[in-house]
Amino acid sequence: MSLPEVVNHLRDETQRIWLDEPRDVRRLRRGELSTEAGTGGQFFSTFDAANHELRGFAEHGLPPLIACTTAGGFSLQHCVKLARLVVGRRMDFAGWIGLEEFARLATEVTEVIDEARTLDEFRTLFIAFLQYAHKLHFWTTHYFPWGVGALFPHREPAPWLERLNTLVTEGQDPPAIEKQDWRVVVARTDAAAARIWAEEPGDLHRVRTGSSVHGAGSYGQGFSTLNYIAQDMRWATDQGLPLVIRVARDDAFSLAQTCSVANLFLRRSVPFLGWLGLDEYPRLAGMTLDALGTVSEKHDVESLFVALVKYSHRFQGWAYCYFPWGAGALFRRPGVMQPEGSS
Amino acid sequence: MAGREILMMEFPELHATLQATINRDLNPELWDAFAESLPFEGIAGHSAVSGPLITCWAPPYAIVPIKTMERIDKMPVGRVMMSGSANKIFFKYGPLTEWVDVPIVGQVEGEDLAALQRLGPVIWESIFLTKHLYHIKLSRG
Repeated sequence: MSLPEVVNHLRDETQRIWLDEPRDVRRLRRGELSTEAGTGGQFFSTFDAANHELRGFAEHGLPPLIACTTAGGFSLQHCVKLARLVVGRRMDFAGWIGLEEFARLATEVTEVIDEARTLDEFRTLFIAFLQYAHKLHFWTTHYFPWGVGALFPHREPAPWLERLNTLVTEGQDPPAIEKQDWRVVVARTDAAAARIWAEEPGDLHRVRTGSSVHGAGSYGQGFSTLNYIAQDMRWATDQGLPLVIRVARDDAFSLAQTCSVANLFLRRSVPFLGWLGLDEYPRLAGMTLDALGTVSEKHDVESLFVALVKYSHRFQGWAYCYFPWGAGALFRRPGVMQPEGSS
Repeated sequence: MAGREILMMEFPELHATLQATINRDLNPELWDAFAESLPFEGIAGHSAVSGPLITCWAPPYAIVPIKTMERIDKMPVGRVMMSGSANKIFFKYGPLTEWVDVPIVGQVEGEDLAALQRLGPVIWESIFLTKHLYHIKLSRG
C-alpha cells in the first residue's frame, strides 16, 4: 500500500470502530485470545497490558511526535527517526496480547514512513494513526473491569472522604520544583534510586493502601489510581525515558533538539503523576527537565536520563510487585488449563 | 451576543437532551475545528481517576493555537472543555481536584446542569460495572 492508501485505510478503520466495538476488544474482554498471553490461564493481566499499550500510543507517544512536526527545529528525517522509536517493534507485543488489527495497521504505518516527502505528509499519516489508536483506546478503557475498584475503597468511607479530599486539595498548587545543576540532580536521583532499592517507595505505599489524600480515584476507589500510576510509570520506564537516551546518543540530533524532545515527550505527565499521589518521581522528573537548562553537552543529558530511568525502573518493580494481579482470579480464560493447585 | 452558540447534547438511551452555551471567543480556532465535525454521534465515557467528569471522543484532530485555559480544579462545575487537539470533549459535573490546565469552550447551566449531574453517576456506572453503551448525539442548537 502507498502512504495515501494507508491514511485512507486508517480513516476507514477509525470510522468502522467509531460506534461499534472492535472485534479484538470483544475477544480481549472475553479472554478469547489466539495466543497464550495471560499467565496462569487468566486474561485480566492481558486486558490490562492492552489498555496500557494503547494509552502509551494515544496519550504519550503519538501526540508529542505530531507536535514535533509543528514545533520547528525538526526536519522530516528527525521526525522519521522519532517515529521509529515511538512505534518501533511495539506492534509485535501489541499483536501478541490481542491487539491484532492495531498491530497490522501499525505495521502498515511503519512500512510507508519513508514514503513521506514532506512534514505535512508525515503529520497526516500519524494523525490518522493516532485517531485510530485513540478510538481503540476508548473501547479498551470502556470495557476494562474498573469494577475491581470495589475491592479497593479509599481507606476512609466515601462519600465524606471525597469531600475531605476535595477540601484538602481543591485549589492546591502542585509542589514547587527547585532548579538545580544537572550534576546535583543526577546525584539526588541516584540517591533516591538507592533508597528504594530494598524498600518500597513511601508514596506508592500510600496510594496502594488507599490513604493518599490527593483526591484521585473516581467515586472513592483507589484501583484506577494505582492502575494509571502503573500505566504511566511503565510508559516512562520502557519507552519515554529510553527514547530520550537514544536521541541523546544519536549524532543526528543536536543538544537543543535533544532537550526539546525530552520536554515534548515527558513534561506533560509529571504533574498528573503528582496528582495521582506520587511525590518522588514527579519531583525528580521535574528537576531533571529543569536541569536541561544547565547542561553543556549531550552526554550530560544522557547522564540525567540514565539516572532517572534507573529510579523509575526500580519504582516500576515495586508497582508491578504490588499491583493486584490477584483480580485475575475473576477473569479465567475459557478452555485454558489452569495452573496446578488453582481452583 | 457575538460569539455565543448552543451545543445540543442528546442521550437517547437515557431520554435526556441538554444544552451548553458555547462562548466561541474563549478558543475560536479550537471551537471551529470541533464544530466542523458537528453533528456527530459518539459514546459517553467517564474519567476513571479524575472524578465527576463526562467525556466523549470526537472526530477532529486539530493543531491550533489555544487562547484560554482554566485549571480543572478551579473552574466552575458545568464547564465544557476540550483536549488541546479537539479530539475529546469533557463536561465537569462536580468538584475536581486535578492540577491541570485545560482549554475551555463553554458552560452548562441551570436545569441542564442539574440534568447533567443526574446523568453523570449513571455513565460512571456504565464504565465501572454495567458496561452499557450510552450514545451521545452532539449538534448545534
